[in-house]
This record gives sequence, C-alpha cells and structure tokens, in this order.
Amino acid sequence: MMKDDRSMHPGGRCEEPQGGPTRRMPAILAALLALAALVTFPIAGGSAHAAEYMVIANAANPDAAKGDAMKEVVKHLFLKEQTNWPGGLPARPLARPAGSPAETAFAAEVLGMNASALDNHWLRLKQTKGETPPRAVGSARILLRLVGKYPGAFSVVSADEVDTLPPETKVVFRFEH
Amino acid sequence: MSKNHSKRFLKQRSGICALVSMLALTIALDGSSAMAAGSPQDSGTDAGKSSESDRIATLEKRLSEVLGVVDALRQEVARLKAQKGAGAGAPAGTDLARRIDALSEQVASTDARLDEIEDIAIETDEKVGSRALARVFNADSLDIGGFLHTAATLVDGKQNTEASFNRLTFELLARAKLSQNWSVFVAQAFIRESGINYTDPAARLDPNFNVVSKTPLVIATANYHHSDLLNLEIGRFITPHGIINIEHFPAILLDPEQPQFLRPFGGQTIFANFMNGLKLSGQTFAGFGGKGTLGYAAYAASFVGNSDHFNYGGRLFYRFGDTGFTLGANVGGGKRAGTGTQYWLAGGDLLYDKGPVLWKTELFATDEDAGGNRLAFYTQPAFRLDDQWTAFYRFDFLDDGSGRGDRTEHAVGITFKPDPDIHLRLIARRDHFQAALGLPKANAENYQFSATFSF
Repeated sequence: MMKDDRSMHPGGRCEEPQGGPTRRMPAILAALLALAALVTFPIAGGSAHAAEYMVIANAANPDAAKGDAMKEVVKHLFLKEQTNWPGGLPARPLARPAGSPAETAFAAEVLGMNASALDNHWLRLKQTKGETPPRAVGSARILLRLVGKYPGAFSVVSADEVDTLPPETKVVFRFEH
Repeated sequence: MSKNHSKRFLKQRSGICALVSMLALTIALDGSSAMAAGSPQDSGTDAGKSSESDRIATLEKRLSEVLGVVDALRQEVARLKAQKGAGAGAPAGTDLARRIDALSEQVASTDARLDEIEDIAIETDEKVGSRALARVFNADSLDIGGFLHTAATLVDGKQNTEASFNRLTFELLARAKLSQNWSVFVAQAFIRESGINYTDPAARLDPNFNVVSKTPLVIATANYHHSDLLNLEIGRFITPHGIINIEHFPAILLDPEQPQFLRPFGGQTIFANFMNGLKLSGQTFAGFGGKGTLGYAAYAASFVGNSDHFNYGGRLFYRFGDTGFTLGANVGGGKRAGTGTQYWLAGGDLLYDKGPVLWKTELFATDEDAGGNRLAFYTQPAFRLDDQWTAFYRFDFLDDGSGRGDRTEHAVGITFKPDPDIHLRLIARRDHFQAALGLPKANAENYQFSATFSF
C-alpha cells in the first residue's frame, strides 16, 4: 500500500504536496481559466456596459405611442424609403453627427447597417433621386426642441444625454447598444 | 420646530427664575435667623465670639452653595442661549445654501447652453464667414451636388494597342423642393471624352465606349409626390428597367462601363437608357414583418432618337425583407429608332445584397418586328472584402440582333473607396466577338483605371 503523503487539514480537505504533478495541474487549469477569462470578460464587460438609447418623436404624433411596432417604420422613414408616418404625418427625421454614439447605435440596432452601408445608401439616393441624408443635430437640447416643434419629427438620443424629456416629445421605443 | 424650541426655552427660564427667587428667600431667612441668633444680648464675650464664627462659617458655606447654584444657572443660561442661536440660525443658513445651490445649477446650465450656441455659431461662421449666401428664387430648399468621373483605358486589340485618358465627366445634380409635394430634380452632365485612337469601322474590336464630347441633360424631372404609393415624374428620366440602368451613376457602380446592352450610352440597344415623358412609381411595405418591399414603376415616353413614337413599359419588384433578395420583372414595348418598327421587351432581374455579397443578374429578351430578336444577359457577383475594398467579376452576353455576331465580355476588377465619396477602380476586360457574315471572330482586351469623386 502506497503511503499517502498528503496531510489532512482540520477541515478534512487534503493539501497537495508542493511541486508534485497534481500541484501543477491546478496551476495549468488556473492559467487556462485566466486565459478564458481574458477572452471572455471583455465581451461580458461590453454587454454589461451597454448604453440605453431612445427613439423620440413629437408628442402630437399618434404613431409615437405604438412603441416597438414602429421600429420598422422608423427605419423606412429615416432611410427616406417612406415619407409619411402611418397616421399620415409627413416624417421629418433628424440624424445625429456621424460617428457619434447615438448615430452608431441607431444605425446598428434600428437600421441594421454599418457606416459604410449607410454611406452607400445615401450616395445611391442622392444620385438617383436627389435625396439627402437627414440633417444631423449635435446638441441634444436643440434636438429635443426641434422634435418638439415639428409634428412629424423624430430622432435618437442616449439616456445619458437627457435628464427629463420635454412634454412636447415622447419616447417611441428604447434600445440598447 | 422653532416655536417648540422657544416654548421650551421660556418654560426653562421661568423655572430658573423661580429657583433664584427661592434661593434669595432662603438666604434672606438664613441671614435673619443668623442675625437673630447672633444678637449679643449680653450673654458673655467668649460665647458670643464662638457663636459668631459658627454663623460666619455657616454663611460662608451657604454662600458657597449659592455661588455654585449661580454658576450652574449661568451655564444653563449660556447653554440655552447657544441653543436659541443655533435654532434661530439653522433655517436661515439652510435656505441660503439651497438658494446658492439652485443658482449654481442654473448658472452651470446656462453656461452649457451658451457653449452649445457658441459652438453652433462658430461652425456656421466657418461655413459662411463673410461670404454671401446663395438663395433660391422660389423653392423651400435647394440641394446641389454632383461628381467628377475620369478613366484611363488601354485597349489591346487584334491590330494594335492604344491608350488614352478617355473619360472625363463632370455632372451637376440639383434638387429643388417647391412644396411638400412638388420638387424638381436635374442632372446636367459636361462630358469631355478623348476617344481612344482605335480604327475599327465595324465597331467590333472597340469596346464600344462612347468617344464624344457633349453636355447632355441627363435627368430633368418635375416630381409630384402624392403618397409613397404614387409619385409622378414628368420630363427626362432614367428608364426604370433592371438594376444597373436605374443605379446608372458611376459613383455607385462597381464597373462604370455599364453592361453591353446599355451601350452605347444614350442608345436603344435593348431599351433606351433615358426617356422623355411621364413616369409613375411607388412602393409599399408588405410581408416579412413589414420588411418586405413591393414597388413598381411604369412609363410612357419617347426616346430622343425616335421622338415621334412612344415607348412604354415598367418594372415590378419585391424585396424579400432582410433576406437580401430582390426580384424584378420587366415588360416594355414601342418603336425602334430609325426603322420605327415595333418591339416587345421582357426581362427579369435578381439582386442579392447581404453581408459581404453583392450579386446582380439581369436578363432581357426582345421580340422585333424587323431584324433579329435581341438577347442580353449578365451576372455580376461581387465580394466586399471590407468597407473599402470590393472585388467583382462580370459575365456579359449580348446578341444585339444586328447579325454581326454575338459578343461576350468578361470583366474582373477591384474597387477601393478610401473615402465614402471617392471610388477608385482597376478593371480588366476581355471581349470576344463571334464570327459573322464577312467578319472574322475577334478578341479585344482592355484595362481601365477609373476614379469617381462625389460631392
């Protein structure tokens, strides 16, 4: 019978002898786990820090109350494939500056396009119909005033940009990115 | 809170007064009894001295006690005064702090708003400065843009090899919005092409690129937008058939030399690239959870080479939601330029545009009253290597019904967009012409570098 040189801890657990193969195995496992964590945590961290955004519209727009059902409509209106809200109001999309977090999130989550695809879309529309991209507004404060001023207006803001929405505006739907 | 504090203070002050009064009375009584007890009454000198010193000791003791009480009272009064001061002062201090905080917030908010307005003013000033603003005579808005397109081509033909910077096109695009429903869209081209010095009377070994200088009015339409389902265009428009003819402009094409059936530019090989007349178009969203698109375009117009006759036709298309597929069906008819004979047109187009793949295919066939029927087909798969680089190949077949032999073209190219508005391309093409009556078969290769700059 082999001698068991592991000493018993008071709690009943065994302690591995230092330098033995069974000692090295947990070290390798730990290294692998650490590597996995390095790979995994940035992804998990990214999703943990997802920011919240809101598509807002004029409060007088009856379609603004329809929530997520308007997601596809908002996409068509922003891309100028559709000109009127389902209720008949002429749409007035307002963009955010190219490369801004709100614009990037809106393009990815609502339009389903990256910057390159969006550029190509506007180039095509400019050349074939003379259409231009929606006007970009940098200041969230001015954006809220514009959305509140025009009945068919809508745009996107991050939750961080706005403490309280003015009564003339309304959240159509929220999304994270 | 303050009232209760005052009441309590008054009550404590009354108690202290009563205590002081009682002490005074006690001292007075003790003093009088001591005086009475200490009265000489002639009872003897020693006894009197002893009694006096006792009384003094007693009085000193009492005085000491009273002084202790007075000290205690003084401390109590000081404490109460401090309490009163704190009780009266706290609300005033809190209110002031609150007002200062509110004011600070207001100033910070005003500063932020002022910063934003100054930023906007600076941006506007950078754009406008001291220059005069262009104004439109009568329009709600006016958008102007355009592009510059240039190309250098080397043709390696059967008989000789020639090269030239053969393309130089500057095109202005303008759209004026007249009202909510009415607008005008114009594309004016200024074309200066240095033709490749290539002798080919039968136009068989020449890639058939246009070699002229001209300033054509490419598009000029007045548009009435009734709804998304009904748009009316009057004027000169791009014939709404297929995929590439509708896209038309070099800035958005992988190969700016359009497929053979659309050459020569401005001709009517299968159908005319442009028409003068009336066009209706519209689209709606149906199917695939509202992501499917059903659209149409229909026209009745004349081709400039045959302006005394009308051509007619249209296209119906459906985009299958997010699948990337768009399928189009085309029909048309009219009169051929020159002969004035009837033709009928049918065709289909299929587009796949999803992720890195962009694949366009078109097929058109005609039934001609005079000459041979015509057939055109191309397929052009492209792969987006990244946001800037795209590689493509195109197989292109044309039987133009002229009896000069079918022609096929293979084009392979790579395009690079260093900026969304700059499109650079390097393309190699190989054309093969079948033998025909009196004409031998022939091949021609050409290599082209082209660049399109949009604004």
